[in-house]
Amino acid sequence: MVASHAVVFMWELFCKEVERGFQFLEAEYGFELVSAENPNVVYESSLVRIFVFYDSSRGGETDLRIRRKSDDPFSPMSLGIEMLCRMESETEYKVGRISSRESLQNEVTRLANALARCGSTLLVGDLRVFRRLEDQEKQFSRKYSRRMKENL
Amino acid sequence: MLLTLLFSLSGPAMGEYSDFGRSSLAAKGAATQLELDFGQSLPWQRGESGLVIGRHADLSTPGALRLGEYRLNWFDVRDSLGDAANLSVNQSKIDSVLDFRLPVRDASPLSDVGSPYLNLVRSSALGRQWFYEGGQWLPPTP
Repeated sequence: MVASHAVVFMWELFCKEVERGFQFLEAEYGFELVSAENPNVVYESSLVRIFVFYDSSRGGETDLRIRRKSDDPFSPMSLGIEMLCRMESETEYKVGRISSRESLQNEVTRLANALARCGSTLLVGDLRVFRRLEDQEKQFSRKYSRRMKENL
Repeated sequence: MLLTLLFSLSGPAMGEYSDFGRSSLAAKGAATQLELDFGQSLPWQRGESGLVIGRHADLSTPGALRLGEYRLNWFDVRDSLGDAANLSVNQSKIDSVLDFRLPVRDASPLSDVGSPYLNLVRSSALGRQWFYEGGQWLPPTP
């Protein structure tokens, strides 16, 4: 599929904004920007990958997901920014949509601020939040398992 | 089906092509065997639907889908008709796949309940008494 000029233009703007807004990852936490291919700008440390996501062709959705590099890429162990904020600072964060150049800047800044605020422990290499995520997953998995459903 | 490709660069059949013997490929030496086990890697041959559900961002990470897997996709109508209409399209898409009663892989954590689209898909599976096991939604045994 060939992306329209508008889609390419917005994606390029997004990349520039992410480089500006997420500069703290490189400057303060030693992350490296490893790729910027639509729809993800990817940062990497020795332990985790951070995917800053923007789909300009489908509703302008934004998101930020963090995965441990040691995890199977097909495992569902992906920590979204909404969950990270809920688990680490008990604050609500709702991912937004980008509909214009102005909202693009606002959304990227909002994402970067949320990561800086809620991810400071994780960004220095403390991955205990992933263990909590695993515990949560076990609970949910039990709840929706065959045995539990048969007992209902 | 197991498809085995055997490349034997030094075998007698290749010997008759005198130019081939001087190529850089031939210079690599020992014969190598490449096995492409397609039968084990395609979802429908394992009895799976091949559909992967999850947060949009999770499904869009590089390498998120295995060979033969796919995700639901449709023309987004949020801007023209609104969220409810877009959710309806999603609902009809997922219903048509669940009707086949074949396992569906979930690429996002179950505790991630922030997307109305993913919540709708999971609710559809639960509403049909499907259960979750090993990262997949499975239909109830009849």
